[in-house]
Amino acid sequence: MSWTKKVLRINLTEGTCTPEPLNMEWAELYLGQRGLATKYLTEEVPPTTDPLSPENTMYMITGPLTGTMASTAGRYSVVTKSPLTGAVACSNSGGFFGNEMKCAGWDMVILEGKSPTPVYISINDDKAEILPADEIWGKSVWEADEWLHAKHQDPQLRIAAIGVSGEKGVLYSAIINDLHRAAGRSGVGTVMGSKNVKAIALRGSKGVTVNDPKAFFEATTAAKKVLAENAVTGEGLPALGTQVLMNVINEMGAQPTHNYKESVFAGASKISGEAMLEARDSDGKPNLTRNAGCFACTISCGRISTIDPQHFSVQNKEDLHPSYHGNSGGLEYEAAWALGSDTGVDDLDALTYAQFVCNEQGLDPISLGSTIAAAMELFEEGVITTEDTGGIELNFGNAEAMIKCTELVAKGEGFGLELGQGSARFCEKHGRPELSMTVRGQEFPAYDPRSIQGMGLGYATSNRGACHLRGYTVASEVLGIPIKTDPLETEGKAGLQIAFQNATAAFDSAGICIFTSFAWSLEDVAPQLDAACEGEWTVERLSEIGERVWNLERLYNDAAGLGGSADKLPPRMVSEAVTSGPAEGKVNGLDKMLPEYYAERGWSPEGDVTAETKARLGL
Amino acid sequence: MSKKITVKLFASLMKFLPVNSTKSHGFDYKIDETTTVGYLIDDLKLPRNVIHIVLLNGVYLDAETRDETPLNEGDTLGFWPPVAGG
Ligand code: SF4
Repeated sequence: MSWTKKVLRINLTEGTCTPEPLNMEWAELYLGQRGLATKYLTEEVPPTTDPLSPENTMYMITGPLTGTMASTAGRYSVVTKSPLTGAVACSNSGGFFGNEMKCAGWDMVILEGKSPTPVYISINDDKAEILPADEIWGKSVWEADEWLHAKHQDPQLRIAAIGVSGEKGVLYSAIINDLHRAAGRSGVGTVMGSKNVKAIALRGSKGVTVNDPKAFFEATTAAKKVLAENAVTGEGLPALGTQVLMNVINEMGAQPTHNYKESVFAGASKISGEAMLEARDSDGKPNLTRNAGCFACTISCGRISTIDPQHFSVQNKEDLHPSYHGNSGGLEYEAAWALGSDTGVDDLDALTYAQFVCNEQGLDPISLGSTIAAAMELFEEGVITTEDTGGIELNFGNAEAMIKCTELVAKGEGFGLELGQGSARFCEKHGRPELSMTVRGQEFPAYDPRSIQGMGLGYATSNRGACHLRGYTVASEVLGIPIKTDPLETEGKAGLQIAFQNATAAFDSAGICIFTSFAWSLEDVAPQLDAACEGEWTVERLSEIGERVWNLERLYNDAAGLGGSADKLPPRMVSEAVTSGPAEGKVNGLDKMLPEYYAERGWSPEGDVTAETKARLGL
Repeated sequence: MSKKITVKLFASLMKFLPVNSTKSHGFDYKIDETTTVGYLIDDLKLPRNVIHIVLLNGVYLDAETRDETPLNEGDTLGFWPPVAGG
């Protein structure tokens, strides 16, 4: 407890579903979710494996707190070898799928091999079946969801599925659960598609048990109070969601604009969280309908929104799924910057539409927007023309073009298939690799690392490629959480990144949402785990687990050829200075931070994990 | 001689915007020669216990020193409560 200690291993080549015990020795060292599945990956999938071959394996895994009454305890992760990066992939999602898996009695579902024909997996407590999915292959996530609910005659079924993009091999396809929650990054949906698996439909009735119910009740109640009394988790996130960041990041001059050429976007306030609350002209309603929460979440940062019925993206389009004319999930900040400021589009409804498409067809909006932005720069430079784009005038700021590209990638059609390879491959193909804003082949998130120095180090060293959810020093450098540091300063950022990276790896292995960390530290998490699980779970032990997980991921990447040599930023970030705003004249000082980072991690000057560090962490 | 600055209020501080202010969640504001950030906060009756991030032309003002910070013609001053996302 609070692991179920059971794993469901599904071999798609053989067509078998076999229960096996969870490796508890590994659970002691890696806790669950991100850490534990990475341990399985490193033991079972050689680092040189082709990510889209049957030899790659996909792990859908919960954490020990998943399915309990701890706040935000609905999380699960998908761990595999990424087809976008070739590195370790770990994408975390909320909604209600993770807790359902746990309630069905499974800590983890493993998909290995490849089915000869399209299938979906049906899991109802102990009963697991591989069933034909021919009728939903070629359909969207939302259509598949409806079909599965109708077929099983069960409104409570929890479903994770891929869209057409994942079937067609778009390299940044996501797995979407509960209609609009995404295991979004690094192409985990593409791996699922390569195995011919359309969906996993779950139903669990067993409940989750904890080791010491009384202590657990006390610990979770105290921790929920911390969230409720914190201005960010108790007030800011429920009211404005992640989109509250748009204006602050723009005002401080870190808003990626026009494929990171600029760091201030004139249209930012029009696509911000604040703008989502304003009544529009056509029907007097705001974009935002309400907030929404994942399982057991007491924060509820999710957005449920509508598109202006008179907007060109939905007007006179009878064939669209009805959700486009009603309420659906979005707009989140990461989608808004990538599809918005990075492409120069300041049309809130166009962005909301594009986010809905990403949910319907299972796409990572960060990689999508960033790739479209890179293509726009190539178009404006004359490197590609309308002959390449299939007639699309791909200028910055063209909302119609952004939407057209989104639709083409979503369906894996024409020019969309080329964009679907991601910005690194796209720019490489057109002879301008330096215009791809990626690390390890994964597109940057929403923060210009020239204006927020620590994030440059974070992107360069992130084990799953450029990412904000591996070490979110924005919290400290911009938002003053837990303490304010100077975003333009490189000194001290190595230690700051390491602290964030290790703590995040521990949170990500526990079954809770990383947004709790705006209010919680490991001091708040440890008592909850200690009451839920057997054994002693202290802050020190969790910190060590975080560090161990980080190093394990790094060792895997090293062996895949993506270690120290890949700790690089695109030339624009280290040699082209910011042109306006508070960070004007700045480049990222990665060269100053990286040696210090390696030393503080206990790695060699080349960035290799040393024998001493391995021994210290039991690796 | 009076100076003109732009004040911007975000997130839950939007409720302190004057009626009819439409300029990117902000408004123009006339101040006199000696106005400081601290004076302006009180003049606009902004809740000090809610204000967390203050950016003067995009640059963060430390809580300890911001009250004394002078304002100049054309400055943009932005206020936020504690916010985060990702
Ligand atoms: S904070 Fe937001 S993303 Fe996290 S569990 Fe709650 S609703 Fe889901």
